[in-house]
Amino acid sequence: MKALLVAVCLIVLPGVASAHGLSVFAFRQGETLGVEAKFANGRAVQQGLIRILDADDQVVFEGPVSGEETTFVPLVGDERGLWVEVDAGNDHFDYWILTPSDLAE
Amino acid sequence: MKKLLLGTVLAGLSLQPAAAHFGMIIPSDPIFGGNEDRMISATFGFAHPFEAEGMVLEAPLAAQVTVNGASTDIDLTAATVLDAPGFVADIEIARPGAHILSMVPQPYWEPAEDVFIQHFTKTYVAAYSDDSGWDAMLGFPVEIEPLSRPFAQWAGNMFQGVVTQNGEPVPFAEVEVEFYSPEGALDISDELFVTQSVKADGNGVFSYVAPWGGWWGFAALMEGPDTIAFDGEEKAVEQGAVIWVNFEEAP
Repeated sequence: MKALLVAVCLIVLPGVASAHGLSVFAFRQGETLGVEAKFANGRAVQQGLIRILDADDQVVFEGPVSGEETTFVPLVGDERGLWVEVDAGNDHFDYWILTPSDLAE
Repeated sequence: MKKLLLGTVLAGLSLQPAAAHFGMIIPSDPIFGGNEDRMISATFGFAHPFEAEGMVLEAPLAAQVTVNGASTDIDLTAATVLDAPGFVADIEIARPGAHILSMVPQPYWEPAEDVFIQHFTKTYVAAYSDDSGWDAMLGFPVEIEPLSRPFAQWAGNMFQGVVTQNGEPVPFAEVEVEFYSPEGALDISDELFVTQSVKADGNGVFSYVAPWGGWWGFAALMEGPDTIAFDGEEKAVEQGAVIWVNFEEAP
């Protein structure tokens, strides 16, 4: 993924310059993934695209944010790790990496 | 005569700096961008920070990390901190947002002041470029509410906070401010520079401009409601609301 990602990006997590005030966090909850995307003022992203890539750099999910604090999407991919990104336009972009241990139940 | 002269000279040359006691929590990263383990380390101590002189920190009654209103106990490991017993810890930072590291130490008997001292101590760590929760409070009996974001501050910025006791502002509270100089005391012309002192206004709001980068401790000291029996006498307990803030030199 961004294959290096699970291996390498864990060492260099979300870049300040790339976030432009957007903060993304993701977590597993049962058979769903929770995705939080908010601006620096704490307001949840109202319009934005969630894209999830697996360890092979394949897009395994794509869909809009709900506008709520947390958007829940189906659990996708496998235990090797996931890259969860949100693009809210105008350079408002950020990502979170779910490691194998994050995905383990 | 010699004794008289010596006494006069020593009176003019104070040999003991008027160092203030500070509970200390110093994290490895005031702003955490991530690493392989998503862990930071932190040092828990009790010290005269300007002189880097440690004092004994007994096992705290509580040590926690709080984020989004949820608190988790921190596993402390005994360690030598500034040449005195203290603690270190590795702390998982698993999500974005301001993480508050805090401790409630045991009351410490200070014979020189004839009081027990208990410093409710905290510091805020920003994680993954998210500052949400930077003004969150822990509900300590005495606590400083940050009015300025307590991280990502430039040296020269003004830091403001509200001194509270039982959640209420404390008018005209006195706040001691001290720089943590890990290599030992800086060269100063008078001991009065060791501990800066400011007073809050009528709303409990105090302000301080950190003149250079590094860790600065702010301690508002108030007499607590309880006493502790010691040697057959009831002794007052000084409660300190302590916050540590990192200021960064301009790039």
